[in-house]
Amino acid sequence: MGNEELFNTIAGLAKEAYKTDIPITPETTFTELGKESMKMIALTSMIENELDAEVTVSEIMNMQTFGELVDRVAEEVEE
Amino acid sequence: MSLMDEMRERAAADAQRVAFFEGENPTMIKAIAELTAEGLAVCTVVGNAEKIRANAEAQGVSLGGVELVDLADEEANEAIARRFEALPSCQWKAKGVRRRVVRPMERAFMMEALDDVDITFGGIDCPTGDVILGGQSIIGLADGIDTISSMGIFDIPGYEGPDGQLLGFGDSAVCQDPTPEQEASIAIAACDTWHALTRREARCALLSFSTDGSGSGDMVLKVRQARDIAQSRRPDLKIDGEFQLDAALRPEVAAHKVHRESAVAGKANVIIWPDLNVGNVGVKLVQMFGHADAYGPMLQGFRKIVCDCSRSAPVSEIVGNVVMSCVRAQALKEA
Repeated sequence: MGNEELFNTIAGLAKEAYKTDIPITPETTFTELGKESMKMIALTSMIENELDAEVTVSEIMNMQTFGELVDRVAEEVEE
Repeated sequence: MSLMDEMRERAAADAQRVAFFEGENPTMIKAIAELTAEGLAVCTVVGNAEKIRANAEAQGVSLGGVELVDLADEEANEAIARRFEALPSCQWKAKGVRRRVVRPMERAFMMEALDDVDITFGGIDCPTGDVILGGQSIIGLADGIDTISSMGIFDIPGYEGPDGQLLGFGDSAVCQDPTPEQEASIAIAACDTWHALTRREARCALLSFSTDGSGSGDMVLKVRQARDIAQSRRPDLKIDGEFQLDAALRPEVAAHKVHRESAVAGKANVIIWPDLNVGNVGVKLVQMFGHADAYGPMLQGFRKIVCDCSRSAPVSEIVGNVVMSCVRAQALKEA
């Protein structure tokens, strides 16, 4: 899966998890998306189910931007 | 009879099933043995059975009456995985479920979600945050609740409140800067926890530096919004504010400052701090200068009972926390 395709896939999942239509870019912050843990749990479950990549909520809580999450998922997918 | 003695009697009268996932910890295994020997709980320990047995032997305690769930038992793992993935609340596909079924904490939560146990207890070897996230992922939040939080009960020598020396408080441990919805959730959950533990009706005050508009600004507005949300979500509960501490607890101050009918002002038995700064400082003030003992803090807001302990908890504290969890689980079944 290419980087752009991976980004679009995760952005689509995030919009579903966060129930938002805001444009998501690599610079979008998790403060903008919302830091509610139940939404983060939903997002990590979707990523795991769709991409077989396990990223924990604790990891996301320490990330600033959406781009960091995409990079982290890319590491898992490459393994 | 003290509140804890009363709760031990109640726990023993209808022993609840508790899953532990840190059976290799010396303190935890002693607590499990004591809970079992005294008939306070029906204990299940999830993990590496061989290492758990070795730990018990090293600590000189018996595991008689304790069920061990060995994560090396592939047949049992698969059976649980199949049952769990059939639950509507399951968030993962087959692979994700099987990834988790062999992890002690997540397996314990799965057993609780499946009603094989009533309570999951841990936290002596892992951070509270991990217990909370694990519980949220697998057990989920209670209806009408937006956040996990905590509540505790002070036993304050010389305090003559509406419930003697006892005073409930929340949240002093989990939710740093609650939104109005979250503060309402803390109050609602604290009322339920208080009632489960004491069998007394909660009168819950949302605290502020302002009483009924004597102050203004965003901090006051947040508390007032939380009150409205809490009253709307649970009109059966007595939740009111915003009140200063003395207006919440002292009838003569309430009579002077609260110029309306209130079922809470001046007679609150549960107080809700507006944020974690206040909660942390407030608890330490009461303990240091009021020489109070504090039960808890206990996690609340899950769909079922999840409890953690501090990493430095001695056996007696773990036993007490489990007893309180058991009483809460009994109340949840009665609800």
